[in-house]
Amino acid sequence: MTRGLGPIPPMASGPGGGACQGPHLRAPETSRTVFLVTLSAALVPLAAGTVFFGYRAVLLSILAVGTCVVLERSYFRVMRAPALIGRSHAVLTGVLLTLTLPPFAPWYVPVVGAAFAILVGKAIFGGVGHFLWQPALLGRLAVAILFGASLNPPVWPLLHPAHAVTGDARRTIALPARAHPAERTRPWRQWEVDPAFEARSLPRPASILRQLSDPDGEPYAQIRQAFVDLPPIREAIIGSVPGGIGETSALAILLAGLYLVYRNYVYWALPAGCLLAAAATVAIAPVTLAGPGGAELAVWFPVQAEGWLVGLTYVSYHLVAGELMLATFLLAPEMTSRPVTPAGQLLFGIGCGAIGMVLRLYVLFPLSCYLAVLVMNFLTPVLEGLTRPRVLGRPPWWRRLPGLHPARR
Amino acid sequence: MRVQRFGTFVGGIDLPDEKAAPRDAAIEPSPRPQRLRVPLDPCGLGDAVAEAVVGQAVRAGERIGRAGGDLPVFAPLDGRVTALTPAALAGGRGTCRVCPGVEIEPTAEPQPWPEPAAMDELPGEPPESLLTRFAEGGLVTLSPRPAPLHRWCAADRAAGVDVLIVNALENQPWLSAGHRLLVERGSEVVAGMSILAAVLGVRHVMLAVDLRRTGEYRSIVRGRRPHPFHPVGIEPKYPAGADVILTKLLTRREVPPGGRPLDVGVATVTAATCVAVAQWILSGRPLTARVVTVAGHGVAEPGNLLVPLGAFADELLATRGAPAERVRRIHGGPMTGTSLGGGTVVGPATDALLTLPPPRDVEKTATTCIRCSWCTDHCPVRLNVAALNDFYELGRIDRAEQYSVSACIGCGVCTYVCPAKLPLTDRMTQLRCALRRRHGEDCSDDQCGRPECGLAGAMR
Repeated sequence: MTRGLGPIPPMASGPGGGACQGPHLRAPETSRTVFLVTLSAALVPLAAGTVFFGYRAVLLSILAVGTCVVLERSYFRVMRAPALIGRSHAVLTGVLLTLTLPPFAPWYVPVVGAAFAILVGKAIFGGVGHFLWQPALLGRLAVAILFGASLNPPVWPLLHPAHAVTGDARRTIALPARAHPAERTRPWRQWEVDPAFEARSLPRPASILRQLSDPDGEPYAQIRQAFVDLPPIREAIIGSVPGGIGETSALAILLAGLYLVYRNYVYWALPAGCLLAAAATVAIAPVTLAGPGGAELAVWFPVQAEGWLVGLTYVSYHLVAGELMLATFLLAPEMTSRPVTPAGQLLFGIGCGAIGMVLRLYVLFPLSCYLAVLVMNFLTPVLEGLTRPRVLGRPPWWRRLPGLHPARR
Repeated sequence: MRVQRFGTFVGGIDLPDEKAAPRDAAIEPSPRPQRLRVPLDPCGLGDAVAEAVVGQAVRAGERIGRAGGDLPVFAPLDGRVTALTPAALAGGRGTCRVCPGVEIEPTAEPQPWPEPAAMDELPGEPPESLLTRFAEGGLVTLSPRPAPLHRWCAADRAAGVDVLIVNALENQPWLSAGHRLLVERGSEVVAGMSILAAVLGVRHVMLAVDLRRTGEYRSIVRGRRPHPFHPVGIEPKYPAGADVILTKLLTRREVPPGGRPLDVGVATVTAATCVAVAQWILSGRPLTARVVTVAGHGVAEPGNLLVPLGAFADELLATRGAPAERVRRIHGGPMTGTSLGGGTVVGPATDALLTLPPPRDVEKTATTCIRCSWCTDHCPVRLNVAALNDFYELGRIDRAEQYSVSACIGCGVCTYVCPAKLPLTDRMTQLRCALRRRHGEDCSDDQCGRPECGLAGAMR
């Protein structure tokens, strides 16, 4: 094992304080600013979630944030290690974890998830700057495995518009799957209010889309038939569809993400690569339709199988459905667990989008895009090593290939 | 003024352009200093000898000593030699470099420069005799690391240099001495540039200026051109003024890691050097003074002063109303300068004396790298600074060498942007230094402090 230099030596200070050698000017932003601005961006999807899934979203986030902060402080106190960045990153982790949770989760789910995120995801690696996997996603994965089916029912609640913000997503009435298409796809604003129930249970758009590629029941005969079961795409963009607390509102996530890109906290190529790769994957990957005589038929290139209009609508549904947007703009760009180099970030984004879509289409696991981000986190050191930028004065990589004659290098 | 417009480079930052900079303040002579302590050996040649004796009355321009055997030093002002004491010049990392000096008590006021001399055509002398005259005038390059001009020219000629770049970009906040020289002494800049071009025998001469200020340099472009040159406007992105970056921008030649522009056939000089050359060759006035920007936070009268070499920096700052405490005093630009020790005198490397506000509390403590990638994004030579910081913390010089740490130009961009307030530029310098010692080379880097060199032993 390499023996390091030990603790960072104190900076030599000149007369009047500060370092002796330049630069004597510093940019105003600190690590704390970075985390607090990211936190304020993450509060936008949380606010959208509060509207569609009720005040419990706020309670869950308070539980998660409180657990994160208390555990982080006590861990670093018990282990006698200095608290590395302080509380801002713990708060951010708690909010990000809440965004991924289902709105009907009982109180202990955010507590267990936050404990896992902080202790296993962050602390044992040494805190901010050292962990390998995005801690909030590690916490989400842990509760998905621990509480299994109870967090992944076939139908998820969505509040009636009259009970927005004030309602409780657990007081819900279930509409049977594929029972009343006309009733299920009625626009959210025109829902009939049932005084006994504050919410309705519906299948999530992502699981309906999944029926197209991996039917566990009767396959659709055509892609456009699935649109009858799906909510209007406007609803899916605004977020009035069932799903995780912060996952559903593509609009809110896009606003938050674009602000982070504008502040240069997220390199634009990462979300762009992620969304483009996801779109390309679902445009190419085959869907399973009912063929003649009850046989199942794999149709490649669904984007043009039934005309471009249907195909592009299908791709758009995939982009705004489920956890893809949240993973793209808020979870994958977590600074510590993504590559540092620009090209590495592009590859990282492409990997997240492509793997996430393949998992959503063909693998029976509920958290496809989150799992994809965790897989790509695992590859981060490899990507960083592969995509070193060419230093000024060094030959480009194709001139440094080992087979090349030394005179040409 | 039409100037050729050039592209930009990957990385770099837009620094705040300080409004308080004395950009419109004309060059004025400094008030008479109480005493001068003229450094005899600003280039670190060794073997410096004082030729004046204590009590001797000297005239301005009279020879008072020599360094390195043949490089003369002249008295900046009329006065009386009071002592032969070592003079402290600003060194790297806030240290002082002490060299023999002559203390003079001036009896005359510093005079402004006379009207700039114009040059119609190049002097007919062969380059060798001009080189001898450079040596007789005690000319040195007025750059952060001064060198005797005749040796610098000889090295360039031996390396077969074919491009001469006059680097008049000052893209650090507050610096304006070079800008004033171009505005007021433009004909001398052109004359000195032409003489240097003739001596070096180069094919192309380029005058690199800030694109925002090209309108003020009309006299240069419209005036006589004894030697043809291209005036080039450069986008004011820091560090476009670093020699390596400027070489890449203007000639598309990339300096190999750890090398100098000389290695790719490019010579870079500052405008102040050109003025000194012109004044010596055309008017016979030796190098005894230089223009220094005195400005910064709390300075009552920022300005560009014509300062005799050997004036005390603290005294200069005090005469312009710089606050005495709760400020940092900086020698050089705010990005690449070093902090000013007490008793330091103005030498050829002094282009500015600045005061900056004390650092905020968050800037004083370095925290952990959060891998924000801003250092890597903004590095003008595209080093993966985040990875190199890891190698520093692990003590892995071998890995740092694979990542070409020797290409670092020490511009300070990584430290500037770091949200964790890590001293990244410092660490890159230490890695470079450790690497050089590992290869058995002398660590002659000015920026490398001797105590920190001890760290190199702990690294693999």
